[in-house]
Amino acid sequence: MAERTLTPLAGWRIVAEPGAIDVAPWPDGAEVVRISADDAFVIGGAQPDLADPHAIVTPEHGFAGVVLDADALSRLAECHVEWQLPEGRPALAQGQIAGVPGKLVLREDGSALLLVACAAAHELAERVGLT
Amino acid sequence: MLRVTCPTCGTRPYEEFRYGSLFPVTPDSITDPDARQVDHAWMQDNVAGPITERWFHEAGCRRWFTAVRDTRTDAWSQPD
Ligand SMILES: [Zn+2]
Repeated sequence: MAERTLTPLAGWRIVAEPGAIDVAPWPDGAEVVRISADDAFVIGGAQPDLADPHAIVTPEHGFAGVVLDADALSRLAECHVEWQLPEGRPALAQGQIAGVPGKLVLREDGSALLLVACAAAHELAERVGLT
Repeated sequence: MLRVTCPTCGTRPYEEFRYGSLFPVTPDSITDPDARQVDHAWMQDNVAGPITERWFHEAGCRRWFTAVRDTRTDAWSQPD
């Protein structure tokens, strides 16, 4: 994984009614990370517009990410993840990675987007051998 | 190792979680408001069996949830 780098991501953080997030028309080119039923991180794209009048939609610059291919993902899981990754794809896996809170957006093509809070990115990079 | 099952994320080592508290259940037989508060705050039953607890998934979805744990086996089940 030596050539890969965690890079700060720009997106939108959304806290809203789960039903409104379920049916939201996401902007073109955006990748949606569903953190929980009422919480989503939308990477890229224009500001999303939700049907929930009480939705909180705010710019999110708190995550850094790196794309891992299938081999890099399985090496990461083998060496640094103590819990079982979900079988299905696409899926979101959240938990400690090398002891640092992180997220893995598991994509259908076998690759994954590794996400971590920017404040912990340097620590995670050091622990898992990212540059 | 104790493993905790988050309803959003699945089963993880307990180090990922923050323990909230025992979910307080004050018996209906205590009717005096002051006595109910004392029971709520101080009277722990130390049950050997299923208890309801609050947990926070700090390293994952960062959500509080309620779960039932059998103190004899650490087996988890969903609250009613
Ligand atoms: Zn969780």
